[in-house]
Amino acid sequence: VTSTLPLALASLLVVACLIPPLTRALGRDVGWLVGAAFAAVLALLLPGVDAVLHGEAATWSTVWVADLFGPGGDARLALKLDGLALLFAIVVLGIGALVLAYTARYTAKGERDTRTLVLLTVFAAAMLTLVLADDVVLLYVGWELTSVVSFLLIAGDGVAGSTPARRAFVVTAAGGLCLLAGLTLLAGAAGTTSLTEILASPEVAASPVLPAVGVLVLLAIGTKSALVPFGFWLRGAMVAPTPISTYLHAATMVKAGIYLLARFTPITVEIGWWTPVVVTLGLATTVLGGIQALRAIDLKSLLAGSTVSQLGFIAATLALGTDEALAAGLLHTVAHAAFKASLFTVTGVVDHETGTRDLRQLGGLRRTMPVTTVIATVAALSMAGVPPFLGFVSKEAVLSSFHDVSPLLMIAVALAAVLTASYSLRFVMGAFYGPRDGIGHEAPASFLFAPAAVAAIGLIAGLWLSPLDSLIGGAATDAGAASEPLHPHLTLWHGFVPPLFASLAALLGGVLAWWSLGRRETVHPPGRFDGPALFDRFNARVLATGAAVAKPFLALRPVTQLSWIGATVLGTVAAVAAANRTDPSAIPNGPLAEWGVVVIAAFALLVATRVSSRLGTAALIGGIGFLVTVFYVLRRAPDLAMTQLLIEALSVVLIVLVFRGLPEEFGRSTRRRRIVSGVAAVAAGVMAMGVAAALLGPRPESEISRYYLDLAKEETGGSNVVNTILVDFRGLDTMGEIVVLAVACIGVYVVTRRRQHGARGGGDTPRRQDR
Amino acid sequence: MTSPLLRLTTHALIVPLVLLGVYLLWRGHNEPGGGFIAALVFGVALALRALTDPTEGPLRFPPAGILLGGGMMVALAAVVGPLLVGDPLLTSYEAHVYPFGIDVHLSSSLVFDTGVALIVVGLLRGVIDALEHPDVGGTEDEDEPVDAGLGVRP
Repeated sequence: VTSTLPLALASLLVVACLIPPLTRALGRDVGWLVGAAFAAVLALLLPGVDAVLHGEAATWSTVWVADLFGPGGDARLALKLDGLALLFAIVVLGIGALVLAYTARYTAKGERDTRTLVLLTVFAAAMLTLVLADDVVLLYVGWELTSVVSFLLIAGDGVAGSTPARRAFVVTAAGGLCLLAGLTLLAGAAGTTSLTEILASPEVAASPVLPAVGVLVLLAIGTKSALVPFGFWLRGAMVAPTPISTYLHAATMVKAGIYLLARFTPITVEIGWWTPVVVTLGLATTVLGGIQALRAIDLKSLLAGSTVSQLGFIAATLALGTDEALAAGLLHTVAHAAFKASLFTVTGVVDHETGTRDLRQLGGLRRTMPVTTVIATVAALSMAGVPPFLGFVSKEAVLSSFHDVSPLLMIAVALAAVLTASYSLRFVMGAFYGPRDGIGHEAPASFLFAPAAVAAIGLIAGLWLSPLDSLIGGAATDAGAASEPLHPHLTLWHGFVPPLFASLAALLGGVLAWWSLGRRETVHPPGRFDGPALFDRFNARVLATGAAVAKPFLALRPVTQLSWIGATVLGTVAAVAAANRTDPSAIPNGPLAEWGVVVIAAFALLVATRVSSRLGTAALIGGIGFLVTVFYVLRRAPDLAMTQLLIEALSVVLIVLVFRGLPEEFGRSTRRRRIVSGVAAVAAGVMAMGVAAALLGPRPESEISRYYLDLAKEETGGSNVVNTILVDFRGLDTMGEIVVLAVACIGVYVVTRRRQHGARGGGDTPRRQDR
Repeated sequence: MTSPLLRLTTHALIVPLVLLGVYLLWRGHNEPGGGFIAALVFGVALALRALTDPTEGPLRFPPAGILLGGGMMVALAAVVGPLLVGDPLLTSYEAHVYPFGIDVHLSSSLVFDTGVALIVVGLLRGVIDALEHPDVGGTEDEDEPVDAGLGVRP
């Protein structure tokens, strides 16, 4: 069993590679094949299931990055199939198989959508990596991969998709970074990257960083699973084609947060505020998502709202942390994946056959699309929580686990569930029943296969609960790290207990709520707290801040750029010099000739400020530079003198080259400009002198100098210590620096080239930093 | 616009300057000199040539792209090379050779330093070429695209 884990992942990637040639050969029908491949991968995992459910997790691991976190702290490619991972793997691959099969008919005849198929397969691999990962580094990689693939899939819709895709990505990637920080803290506290060891580590449970980890992980969960206030990205993600919405944004990717929530239960139970905060957030999400679903006009938007609502419901349940709550939450995860996948795919069918998803145009589809109507009704009944569907069983379990904690809490949950029942009715009554004559026509059986299959799961599983019992039991056991295996004893009939009454009351309330509010077809403009708008404003503010910071450096006038850079450099140097100052009076006097150099240089400087010829100024400045060389010679610093001489010669020539294209004389500058430049020059000069005085006094020989002086000859064979530092001791630094030089040169090339192209093309507009 | 005197001096100086640069490069490990200083000497030669007519005179310099790429490869070889024989990055090896009975000290650091020199010269070449053609494209060389130095034609 163990080696089948990497095999499963690898075969998904192989499938992804095979899709392009196969699509060329088979067209849209390749979807069936890929779906079958998903099922085969799932079958690969199944032989060991019995052992897994009896607490013997299948594991596989190999060193990935040795000593990443110090000696012995290897990051490993570690996979572990325990009960919890198995549950999610079944959802990922099972729903995946059906969705992929569904694409075979969703894609229009004669067309092919290789990109979507490949990305969906890669997504499945990423998601499987995430749930199988037993190393936090690998877990993080899987987590981010799902965000990236989700972005690519949403953005695949072109212009319409780019904005929602960006919103979705920024939100989920920000959460991903929080996860990275949280996992890093955990790995640090536990001294290992192994997820199993971290979760079992007593050091982690007692660690002072635990609350910080809690906040970070909660942010990751909230962004990925669309909890308040991050839910808005999910609605935008609905611009993606229906198979993508079904698979990523209903059944699996948004469940990544749920998975994490369940997986981290052993840690989060140690955090005092976790349960109240997450339950509150979850229930708030349930209510807000439900309201959004009740106000939606577009079927997909309705389902997006309901997904947000259900995710909040599941998160609140899991956050209770009791064994029963874990089982209930995980059961509801499965139930939700099934009925929501069915409803989404049905919506795709409706969209296909009628050309709209607008509730104002739909209605009475039972007359034109009877089979679709049956499927939708079955799925919606499961979502509403009507017996004997799986949704009823899971909702009962959820209510019951809340009841065990507090009956009052159960009533609050039941009130939230009122919304569930009413938007289920809104979906099915608004589109399929009602007085209107239906439009469109029935879809072919091949198209209805996937929606029917997932809807059937909800019915069959509701009636035949025993296989699910051990699966959910195993998953909950591994999630809560319970010492003995749990048996949730799932059943349709618990007797006349409070959860049953709560459930029935919620159904009744749902019908009433639908009757009074849920049938309206008014379009609601976005309110004041419209998530996407708030996000866009925030995003624009961030970009504007960046632009404001960069503005001086993007200026076209060199003066603006250089004054900022110059001031920064001088300021930094002055600060460093002030912190490391020496006694300037102890600087030994040089030969008297030094003063001659100073006098001549001062005179040349004075002349340079009065000369109006450009070349003359360049020559004088160069002359001053050569005088400095004399100074170095007098102070017996041949290295410096040589460098100074060459630099000076080179810069004079370069200045002359620059000046060649300019008039021979400087133009007259304004009085104000002269004063400003004069003040700046004097200030810079005084500062430079101050820095020199502060730094040049004698200081004791440092340890590092001694080291270099002692070891240069022996270690490198060179006696020019400066050079041995450059090419040997700190050779890698030099390597980095010359890379920078090379890049700078390419920059010069690009800038000058672009100017030339601009001149040719006639429009010389510098490109703006406009995202 | 170039004066004959400048041209003559430039042409006379280029070869000695390059030789001086090579000498400074070689002795850098033990005495003042090294890749950077050598590159500056080459740069002076380059710049002098740019002031006169860059297309005539002895010793053409390769374009910046070649210098940069070559320099990068030489430097990388010096950095990564020791890995091939199982030594850490940047290990330096030395040898003494005795051509004509003179003791010449060679160090593998010289290879790295040569890479440094090539890259700095490449940068200077690129900058000087860019400065040489300030009005390129718009006015004179409409028909013939001017290579700004990387050896790449648009």
